[in-house]
Amino acid sequence: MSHRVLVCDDALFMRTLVGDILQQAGFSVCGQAETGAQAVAQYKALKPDLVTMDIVMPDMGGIDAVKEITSWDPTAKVVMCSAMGQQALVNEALQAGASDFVVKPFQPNRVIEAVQRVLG
Amino acid sequence: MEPHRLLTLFLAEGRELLERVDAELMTLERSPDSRASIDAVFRAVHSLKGMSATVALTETASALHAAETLLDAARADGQLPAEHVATLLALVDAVRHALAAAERGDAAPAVLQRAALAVGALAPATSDTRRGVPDRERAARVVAHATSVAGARWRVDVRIADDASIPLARSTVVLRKLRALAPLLEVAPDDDARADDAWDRRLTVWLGHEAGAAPLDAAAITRAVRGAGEIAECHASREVAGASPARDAGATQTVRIPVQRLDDLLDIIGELVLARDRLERHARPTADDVGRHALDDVSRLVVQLRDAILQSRMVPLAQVFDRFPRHVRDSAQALGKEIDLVLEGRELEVDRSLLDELTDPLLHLVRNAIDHGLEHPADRRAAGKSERGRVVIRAVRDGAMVAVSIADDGRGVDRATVAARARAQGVSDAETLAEDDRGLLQLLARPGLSTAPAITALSGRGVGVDAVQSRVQALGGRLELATAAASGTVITLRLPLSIAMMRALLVRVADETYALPLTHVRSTHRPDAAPAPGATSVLVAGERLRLVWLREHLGLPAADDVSGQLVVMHGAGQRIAMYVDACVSQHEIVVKPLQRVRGAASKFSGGTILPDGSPSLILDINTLS
Repeated sequence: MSHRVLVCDDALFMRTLVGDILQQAGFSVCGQAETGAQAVAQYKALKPDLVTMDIVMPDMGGIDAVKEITSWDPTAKVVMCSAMGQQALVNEALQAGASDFVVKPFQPNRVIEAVQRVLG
Repeated sequence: MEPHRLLTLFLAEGRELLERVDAELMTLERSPDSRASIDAVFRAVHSLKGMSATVALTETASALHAAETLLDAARADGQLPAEHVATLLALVDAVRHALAAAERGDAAPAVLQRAALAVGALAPATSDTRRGVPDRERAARVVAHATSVAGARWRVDVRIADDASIPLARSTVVLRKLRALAPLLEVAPDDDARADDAWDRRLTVWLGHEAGAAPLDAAAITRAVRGAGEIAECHASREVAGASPARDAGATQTVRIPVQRLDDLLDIIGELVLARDRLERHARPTADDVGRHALDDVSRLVVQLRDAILQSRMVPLAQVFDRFPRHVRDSAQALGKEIDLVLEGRELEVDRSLLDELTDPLLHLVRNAIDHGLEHPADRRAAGKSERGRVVIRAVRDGAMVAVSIADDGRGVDRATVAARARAQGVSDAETLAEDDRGLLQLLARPGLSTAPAITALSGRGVGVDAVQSRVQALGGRLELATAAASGTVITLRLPLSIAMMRALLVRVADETYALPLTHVRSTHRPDAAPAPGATSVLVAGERLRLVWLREHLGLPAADDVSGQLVVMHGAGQRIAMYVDACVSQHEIVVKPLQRVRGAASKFSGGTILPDGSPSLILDINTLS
């Protein structure tokens, strides 16, 4: 069975792009979230195998969402999606419990590598 | 994702983000310390930056990056200075141009780089990515100190790949992987040193041993480190020694649908309604109980489906209204006027097609109000008014119509000037007409009549109330005016909520079928005798009404057989009687816009397909008066 991924980004464009990259690599996108709060709620409802998480989102950012998710499920696997110039924030997210990260602009192979690394 | 779909999605969402930025910057101009607005602008700019980089619009991405840096500083300061707002607004405009250029397949316009430089000049000198000071000596000290880590079992030397995008973050992933194997006793260099751009991407970690854990081996450690990704080298050697509560998951979820697909659905439901009508006519007379029940169900469901589809096309007026603050601000600045803008009814929903049609006329009227209606601060003061002018844009629902009014507390329309100009154009009763508001509007709507003492860049030349009025009339609406000297002007657009579907009375003239919007039809009559040929009025139920011969109106030859019917209609503020060959039936029709032929005086507001599949034209009631 293919791995189920929850895609979190406030931009539909980014969600669509990440979703397409994942689906082409055989993953299934089981949910999408536009805010950190939605991401947490969706995670609890869907129990996905993996989460891709934007850092800057309205109504709870990605880092706080990672904290919430990993405190609820310490085995949660979260890949941060960051833009250039967010080194410090990415690092903070990793320290908060995220497993890996990819940097925009996304190259499909980098995204897939990160996801596969995390799913191990 | 196909490139085209990707770009379309990017452009649509990008433009929405820019409008949000516009709106929030407006707020910040008034209250520079609005935390929520600074955050909202930052998020929107940040999202658009990432999206732009992904579609390879690198210049746009880097311009937005400059804006993001500026906004990040504003977040730290807790306020965005007024001069930064103006510079950011200019950048928003430049990015808009860049998106338009990308849509055409052109390179980014030069204005983008200029705007980015202007924003960059305002940004603080230090880069946001640098947290620690370069301190290679300190790193070396840490390494020296750590070489003698007490209790360490393993020393792991790692080099992060040269092309790794964020070495610091990658090193954190490495540490996570190692922490899963054994306690980390020491890491060199430390976090701050690794955050520095000058870090050489080399990392040394000393691992301890957890009591009771299985012994480690070099291969397991190397595997774990390489599993972190972006690792150039790894060598392991043995040493002797939590937020806010989650939002309701059932909250409204939205799906974005291309407008074309909504239009297709509308076409299909239009045809389904017609098919139902045919089925009813054909099957009901001979149907048994079961058949009649099935027909009832089909009818009911078709109506429900139609309503649901029409509802799905409704969008809030906010989509147009939210553009006004920016327009008003820019116009006010260009003209040296001070304006308070009040928006009411932005949550009111109208059909998508109407919204598209409404945008330009509304913007035009708002510009008129600012340009011609409101006086300069000095003139206002001299007239005993407050220096700040006021523009109120208000939308209210009025039955199946929506009324949008644009009111200003300016000088009012100068009746004498309008009358004089109209007379110069050859209107003989101009002075009489100008006395009341309806007549005045009639004069103002004459092509080429402008009351502007000077032609400004803002309102343009010669395009004015006439263009707005013809647009509004084509949509089945009307324009109203109320003005008083020294007090101000209110101009109101009354439009049907939906122009996509309507009930129509079908009439026949010279073997052709035309549709009349039922909202305008008051009654139909079969006169005992046809009106005398050439008559211009007719007595209907005791009332003398102006008579319109539809054949003549459409330029068709007079009929030999003059037995026909009268349709009494109400439009553009008066009743008229229209003589047609025959009234056929009432139907629900889907309105399809007509390609306007330039210069041709159109007597039709749209077209439709009839139940029998033949095309028909919808008569524009306003052209009858």
